[in-house]
Amino acid sequence: MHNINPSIKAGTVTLAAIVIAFLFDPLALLLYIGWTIAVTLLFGKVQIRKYLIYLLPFTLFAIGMLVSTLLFAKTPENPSITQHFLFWDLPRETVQDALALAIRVFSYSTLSLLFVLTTDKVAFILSLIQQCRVSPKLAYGILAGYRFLPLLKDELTTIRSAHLIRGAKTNTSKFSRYKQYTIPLLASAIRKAERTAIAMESKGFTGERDRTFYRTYHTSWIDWIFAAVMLGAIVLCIIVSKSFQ
Amino acid sequence: MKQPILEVNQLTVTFEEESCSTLTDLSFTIQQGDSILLLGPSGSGKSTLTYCLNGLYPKELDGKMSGTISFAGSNIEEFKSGKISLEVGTVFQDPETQFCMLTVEDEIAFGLENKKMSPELMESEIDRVLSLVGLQHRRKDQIHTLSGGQKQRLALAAVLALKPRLLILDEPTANLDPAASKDLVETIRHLKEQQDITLLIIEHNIDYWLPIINRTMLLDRDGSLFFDGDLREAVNLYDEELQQRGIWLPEAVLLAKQAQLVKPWPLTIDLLPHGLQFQTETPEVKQTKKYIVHVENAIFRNKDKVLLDIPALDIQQGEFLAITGKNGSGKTLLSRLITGLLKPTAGDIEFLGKKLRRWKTNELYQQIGYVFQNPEHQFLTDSVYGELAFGQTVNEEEIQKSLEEIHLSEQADKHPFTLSQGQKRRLSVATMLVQEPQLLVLDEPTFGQDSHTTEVLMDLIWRHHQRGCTIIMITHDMGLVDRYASRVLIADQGRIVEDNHPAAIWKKTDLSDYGLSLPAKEAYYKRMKEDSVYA
Amino acid sequence: MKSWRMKDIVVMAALAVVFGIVYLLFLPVNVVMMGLIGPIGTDIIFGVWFLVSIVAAYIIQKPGVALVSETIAGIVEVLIGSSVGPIIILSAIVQGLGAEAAFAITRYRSYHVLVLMGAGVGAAITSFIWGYFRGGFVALDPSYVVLMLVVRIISGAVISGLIGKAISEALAKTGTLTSFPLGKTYRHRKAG
Repeated sequence: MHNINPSIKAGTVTLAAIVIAFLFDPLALLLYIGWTIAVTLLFGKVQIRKYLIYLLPFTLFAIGMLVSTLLFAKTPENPSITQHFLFWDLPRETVQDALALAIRVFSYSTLSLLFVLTTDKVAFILSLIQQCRVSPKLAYGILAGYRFLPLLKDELTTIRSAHLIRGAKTNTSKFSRYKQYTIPLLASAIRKAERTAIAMESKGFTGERDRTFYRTYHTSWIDWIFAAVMLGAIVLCIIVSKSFQ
Repeated sequence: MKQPILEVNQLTVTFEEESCSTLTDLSFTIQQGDSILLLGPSGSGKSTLTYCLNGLYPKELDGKMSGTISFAGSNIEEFKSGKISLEVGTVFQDPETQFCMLTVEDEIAFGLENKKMSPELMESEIDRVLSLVGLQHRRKDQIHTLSGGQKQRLALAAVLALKPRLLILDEPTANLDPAASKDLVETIRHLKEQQDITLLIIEHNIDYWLPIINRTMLLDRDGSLFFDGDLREAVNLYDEELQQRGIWLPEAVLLAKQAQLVKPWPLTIDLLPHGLQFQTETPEVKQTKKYIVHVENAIFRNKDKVLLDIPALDIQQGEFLAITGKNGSGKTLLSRLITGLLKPTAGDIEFLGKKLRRWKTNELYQQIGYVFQNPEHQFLTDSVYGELAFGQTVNEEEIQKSLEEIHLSEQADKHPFTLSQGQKRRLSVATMLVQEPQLLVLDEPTFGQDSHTTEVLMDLIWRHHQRGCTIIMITHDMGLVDRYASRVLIADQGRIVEDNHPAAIWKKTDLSDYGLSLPAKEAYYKRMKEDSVYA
Repeated sequence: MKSWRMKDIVVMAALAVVFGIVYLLFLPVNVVMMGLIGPIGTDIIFGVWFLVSIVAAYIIQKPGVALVSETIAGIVEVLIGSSVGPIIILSAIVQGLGAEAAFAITRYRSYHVLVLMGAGVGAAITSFIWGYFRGGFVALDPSYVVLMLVVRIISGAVISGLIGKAISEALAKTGTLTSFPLGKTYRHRKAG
């Protein structure tokens, strides 16, 4: 899984999510989730425990989605056909729709995790240049900005301490304090960005596509098989689900 | 014979918002093999010159540029975009903002990719430059795990990979502690020996570079060249002008001045005449037995690693305590624990007899001032006046007095971020002193500052100290420690390894063990002693 | 794109990182809001997601900045988030298009507060259409859906537009934007 071209992986996962956006069949969705999880754990070298921890917030989110959809659902066409769900008798359509939406949300997250847990971030960016024809100016600029993350996080901590010393906590609301932190942080980020841009150009970087690459990425037949299989599985799940109904 | 690499002719640069030119009618030639030191006051256009020489201007310039620059015989403007930057390499002063990749080898590769080198050749080239700067063992590491000094060496390596004919170093040691600075200079000196690379070094601090340079250029405030020649001549002719412009003269020269020696002054301590005596100014502290800070068995752990271990520390009221040590030795950590900004993993810290956790936050910080290394982190308002008035009941007279003390009366309405570095420093110290705290902690207040700002700051701090304020100052500047501190703590790897009066420390400790060096006059005494042993 | 300076791009990336940290902090808030009052909870704070594009556009003032900065923010989210998938890049592009439309309508000549708020509104609308399909809003009560849209539009106008403007102008005051159009305008306004 780690060796599949990042761009193709990203594209596949995204396309799958888009296709799913038109599905409302809870069973098919559940089957597909099972499929995705299986692929992730079997081929992705992801530890089960770690994976479950990542899934936890998404599970909560999906449950929240379920409850709120039930509450705000549209009036069903056949309110008389009910289904027993937990403690209530609700219109079957409503329950179906709510389940579908909640499971869908969960499905999106399994697809995301499939990508995130098996892809090196820098590899993704470089493959965007090499496979997706993204301008090097843009891609390397993004990497440069991304480099600031640990620096800015530390700086935020320092700014908060500094404000604490000045007694800033005492007189203002939380909202106003966020504003107080963001301005120095943004100012610092912008200055860092300018200096980094200068340093990059000072090394002969022009942003042109005409350059060589130390780390190269290619597409091979494995990538396309992956894409076909992942997308084909959706169809398979729909068929299997229909056969139960 | 020496070949001219770069010829500059009547270069004048004016920025579009400014009325005066930043560089004025500059003309000089750089020969192959030169090692030039360029000195000038802040804002004199030194960085502007760098950008003109490495191809960034006029493309990125918002302003006008006239005159000609020729590189190896051809006018710079005839070069294709980006090509000049491959011939004139630049190392800048901020170790954090010279990289765009995440790992060491990727960063070096970045430059090679710009040069369109074929990937198969990159491996050996990366190895080559990393060994030139002594970083081969860090090849696969993430850049953010490197120290400041290592990052600067990486920046150097990345530039060397481009095989530039001229290397410009724009204040490369400005953000490094003395130990890292010396390492960097040593790396460059070694490089010079091996490759005879042509260097243009822009700096504030002359001492480090003495062994390398063979030519000096002096820029004036308006960006014009007023001296081009031998360093010793420059320093002797223009010592006043240099000091006025905030340049740090070599320590030996300062000693010579103090001893009122006749010119010409030597540039290094070993060339000073024997028998000079200097005033000892280190103050003694009265034993008041009143403790302002009491630390007991304090330990700070981060992810199973013990970063700080202080079994016992007592700080008296009225002391002037200096904390020093290499970067990463725990100095800042200690200061954050003492002031309650960080909680210890174990142990207790008391302030004025009461445990820190029992103090109410706003009451505690009425009594404690903490000046951070980056003054911008502390600014809360839109104006200088606002900063001084913040949180206090406004006393117009007091604020005006403060403004005068720090020479910012004219800038009262300006936004704090728009001040110069020195002005920001002075403002941040002043804001802490407005509330007359009992304890003032300063994290490297004079780091990277010119001599003028340092004087003003230390003056301000000293005056408050005389009024009874306990001072804790983290610093690398041993000269300051010698002059102001009544007690010194040396931190090393999370522990306090020395705790004594400065004079005692100078005599018995080998400071190089901790990445530190003696203040100038002590270095002189030591040298004289050594000399007489061999005489 | 070729006329864009390296500086413009790295600044956009840096802004994206800062706002990205903010977004990550807001994600749990999102979940809580949703749990309390349903999907409309996310619409109330939805404006936060396109703050970046309005701030960047107002600072850099070049055609395409709103779209590209939002896209960069999407890519940065994938880099810094531990669970955000690549589809967020598409969501970001969709939002960016909406914001960009507002600036395009005025032919990139005006950065008046109404245009900034308009950009927030534009992004709210396009993101809503996208969200309609992704989130299956067709299953929800139509009047609730309309309410969601209205709330999101207001959020876009107020949070992205007004707060975005305030942040950009506060930054201009600090003098950090002197090499960007907004900083220059501020300088002239102050001098004149």
